[in-house]
Amino acid sequence: MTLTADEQRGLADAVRAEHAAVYAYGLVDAYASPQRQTAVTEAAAVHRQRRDATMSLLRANGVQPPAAEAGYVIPVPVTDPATAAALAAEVESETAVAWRAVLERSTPQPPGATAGLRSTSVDALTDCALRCASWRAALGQRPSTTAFPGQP
Amino acid sequence: MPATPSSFPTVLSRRCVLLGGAGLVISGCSLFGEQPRNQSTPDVATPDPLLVVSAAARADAAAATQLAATSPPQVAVLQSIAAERTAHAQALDAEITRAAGTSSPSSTPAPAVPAPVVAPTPAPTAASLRAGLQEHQRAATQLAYTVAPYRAGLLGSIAAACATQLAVLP
Repeated sequence: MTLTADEQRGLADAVRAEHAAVYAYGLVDAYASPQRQTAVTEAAAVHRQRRDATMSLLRANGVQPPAAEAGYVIPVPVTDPATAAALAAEVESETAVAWRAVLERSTPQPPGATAGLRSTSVDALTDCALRCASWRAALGQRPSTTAFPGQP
Repeated sequence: MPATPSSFPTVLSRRCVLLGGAGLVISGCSLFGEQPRNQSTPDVATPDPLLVVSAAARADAAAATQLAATSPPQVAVLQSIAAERTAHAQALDAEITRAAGTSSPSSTPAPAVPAPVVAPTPAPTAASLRAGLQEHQRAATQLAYTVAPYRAGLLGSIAAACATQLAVLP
């Protein structure tokens, strides 16, 4: 897949968001309640895979992807299952924003094409939205859904 | 790219969309072109493809509202779905209006939103609302692949929202 300059920038931002997500899920993992452990492990793996695939795509286009930061500022200290779930919800919300932004900077796929940057981005945005809603539900937030996942 | 839990079948939207459980059929569906509106070509009055998406959102909102009246335990969830699908329709209508306002002066005016022809239908059920949301998520996802970038973002959010609504539907 050949990327435009705008697509490269959008994907670089997505890589940054996914680096932060992987870092954050390390904290979430340490404090999440036992019944959320499977969800945490799965989410961390998905973000890691998505990050790695996006970095590979950038490299294939001759672009050096952003490296992970040494540490990240966490909005609220994680000290128990509730704050762990709150961080997880925030992380999913942020990565959703990054993937919607990729969509808004991406060229259309040819009609009938079932793979491409648009497909990948809609899948990622949807996945983040589902996980975000799931964490919000775990926190007892009602409604757990929002009208426009990924809208900044 | 890795597979995600939310992979969609590659079903192309049908020309005449049967909308959700309310069974609304867009009148004049033979007018709907296959191609997305291209503002750089002379306008041949091709209806904006977002019109169908907006009507679908209103159909789901109406179905969810109707269901809420008969399902007291699920009122909150159904009302939030109705509110979100209404917000989808409003955002889509705003984009449709914006695009119509920037079309070339030589073009014909954008067609008014077709009034749905409401055939007598059974009352919506959770199953019919679910089927509607699934179809509309699929349609919004497919359309997101080919439209202009800003519209792709809007449709992506809408498709993602439908997915989350399906997850909370009883």
